[in-house]
Amino acid sequence: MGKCILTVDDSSTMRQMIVFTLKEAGFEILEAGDGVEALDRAKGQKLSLVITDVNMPRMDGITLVKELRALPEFRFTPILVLTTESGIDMKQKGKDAGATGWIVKPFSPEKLLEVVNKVL
Amino acid sequence: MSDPMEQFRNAFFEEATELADGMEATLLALDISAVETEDLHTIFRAAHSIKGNAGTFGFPAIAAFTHQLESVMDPVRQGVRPMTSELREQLLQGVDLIRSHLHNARQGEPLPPKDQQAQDLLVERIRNQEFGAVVPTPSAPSMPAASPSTATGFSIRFDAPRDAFRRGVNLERIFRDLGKLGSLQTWLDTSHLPGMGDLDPEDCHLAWDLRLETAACRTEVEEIFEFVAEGDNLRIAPLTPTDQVPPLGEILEAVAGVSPADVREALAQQKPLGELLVESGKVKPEAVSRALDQQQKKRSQTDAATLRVSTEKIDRLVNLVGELVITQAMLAQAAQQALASTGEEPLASALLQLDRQTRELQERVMGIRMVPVEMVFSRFPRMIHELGKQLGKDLELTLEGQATELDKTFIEMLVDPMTHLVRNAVDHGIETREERARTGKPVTGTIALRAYSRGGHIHIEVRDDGRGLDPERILRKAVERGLVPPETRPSDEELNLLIFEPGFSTAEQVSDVSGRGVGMDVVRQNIRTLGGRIEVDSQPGRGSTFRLILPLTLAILDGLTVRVADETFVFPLASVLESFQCLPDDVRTVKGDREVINLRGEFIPVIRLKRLLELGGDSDEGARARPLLVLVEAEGRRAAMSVDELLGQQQVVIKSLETHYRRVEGISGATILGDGRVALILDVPGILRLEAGAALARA
Repeated sequence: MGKCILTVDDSSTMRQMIVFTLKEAGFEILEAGDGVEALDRAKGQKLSLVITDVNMPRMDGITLVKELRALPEFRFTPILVLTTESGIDMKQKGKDAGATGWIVKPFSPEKLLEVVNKVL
Repeated sequence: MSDPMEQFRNAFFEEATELADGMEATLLALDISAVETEDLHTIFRAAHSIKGNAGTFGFPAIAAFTHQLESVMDPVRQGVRPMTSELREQLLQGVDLIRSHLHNARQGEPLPPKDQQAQDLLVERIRNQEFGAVVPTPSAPSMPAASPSTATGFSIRFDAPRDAFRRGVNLERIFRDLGKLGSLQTWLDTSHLPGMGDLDPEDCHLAWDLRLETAACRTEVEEIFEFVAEGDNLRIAPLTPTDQVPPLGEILEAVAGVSPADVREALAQQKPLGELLVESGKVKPEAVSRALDQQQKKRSQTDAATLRVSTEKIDRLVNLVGELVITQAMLAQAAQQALASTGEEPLASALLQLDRQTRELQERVMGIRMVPVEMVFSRFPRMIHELGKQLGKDLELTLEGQATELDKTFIEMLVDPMTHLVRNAVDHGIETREERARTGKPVTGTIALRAYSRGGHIHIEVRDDGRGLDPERILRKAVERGLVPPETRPSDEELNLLIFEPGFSTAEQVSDVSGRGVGMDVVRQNIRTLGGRIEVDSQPGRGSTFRLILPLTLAILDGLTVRVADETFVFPLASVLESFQCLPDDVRTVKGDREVINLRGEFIPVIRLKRLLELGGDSDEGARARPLLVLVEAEGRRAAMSVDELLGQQQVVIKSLETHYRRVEGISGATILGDGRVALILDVPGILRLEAGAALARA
């Protein structure tokens, strides 16, 4: 079984792009449209990586990172946040919440794979 | 939603086009005698990114070609090979071929044979250079300091962040990635580990000293540490032959027991480079602040986050907001009448707020369509470079106001007219070197492009410091062509405008670059299509300025609203010359039922809109004692159109008639007025054609 990645984004276009790129690269993918759905999906799964957007309805990405880190099985799982701002601010917020790294939007499929390979 | 791969491909084309543009701009800005390493990296990265993406999205031919460009740039960016002007020309040709590749791939077609041949030739030349090039020996004085024969690379001190494990950071990966850049030696420093009693096994207390021998640049190394660098826990210093020792501070920390905090404090007292240089009088403060500005600009360029959205989506949004504005206006009008009697305060203030918010919403949404004029300007450095070479003229191009924003549609439609104006300026405006020297001008001719907004319009200027327009020559030509009656002398301004007449060219020699007698009228036509106009300032011997004046957006039109019978119509203001009331005797009938008016000695056909558009209604403008006429001009023809009433001048939001109804000859669109009624926008050239057809039918 390949490595499984959970991708969380309320934009289906963005999700499609991520899913497409990662599947091409041989990963298995789980999808969720917001933080709440993501937590639901993640429970009981063995995930190699979580990629989450920040601005989402119901539960935002930063909260999701904190919630995941609070679960024993995701304490050390790499988590990447997608941010539209390259500002230090959002990166720091992500880090403080426990995120491993970030990808600044917009990004190319190539860049996505590059960053994924950096943390896996 | 269409095929996802299709979407990615579109994104790929856009990005690759931008990368090619960037590569070209960098190449052109390159000062061969003092090349910036960062520029070389930029050029390399552009080729590299296009290659990578082309591969991902299934364009192997593009990937293969860009691979060639990438491999020729690789040794150059590493300082192993020098950048030459010859190589620059080859790479510029490469950019053209990338563009051709992209253009054809978009249509699903292979590279045309002509370009394929050019590509084969270019690749061969690049290859030959690659293998046959004389690599300067390391001792050559022209070589940059980072010479490859001695060890280049970095000494790195990395204190892992305390929370590295808890954030799921893969430290091993960092060393693996560094190892890929070259040869890596590591020394683990465990001296920060607390005693067993105080140790939280989830905290990371490890640090490393690393020695990396690599040709990679600092940025590449920094990128590997991207997620773990925070402030001062990462120090990267270049390895130099003599300086392969740790920094003084570190030795002092280790040997003399100086605390890291003290070292940091001492380091913090070091002044910024700019300050030191100013104090020693090596540089002026203004120069430092300019340099800092430039640095800041570079930074913000890389920081500007963007999002690609299809124009279709935006247009739909623009339309919807246009309708919202109208609904809001209708609501406001209705409410005003209702409120006049009841006078309810809260409702009135809420409506006022709605008015403000709708207007802001409209502005913001319109703003999405706006793109910097830089997108048109950016093609000119290359063109000027080529034209200068071709015509043997020394040229300098200055660009101003590149951040001025324009509707995206304009950007595409401005390319041709501006190209024409620039070519003309270089070819006819700027004199030969000898002539300039003779008249005491600087040998280098200047072409200046400038954009700015003024009074709800965008002005774009193409200025040259050449010989200017010659009124006498224009006059001779105009008399020859019967545009000006002999023995009259129009003002210079009027004469200058004649160059926009169809078929008017004063260039005595037709050259390859411009001057085939077509052009300036097309330029004016194009600008009019955009709802704009063009002005000329020219001083003989000093140069000319062509000024394009454009509305802020295509979705809004400056219009003259008129009433004909019971209907309201809108004339695009750009095609209206004047409006006036005439005496009944001024209009004369010729050839049966054709009417003309004698306007200052010129006979102009009169078009009765009411009859032409077959409108009913009580009023008959023909019977008016003093007919009201609007003088219009389109495609070089003039006509006076009779209307019943001039209502006013206003901006209207253009709605397509075709999408809502069908195409109607003589009407270019519709708009909704403040009171909710629909007014049709007149297509002046269409009306002229319609009248010609009707006159033929009547005859």
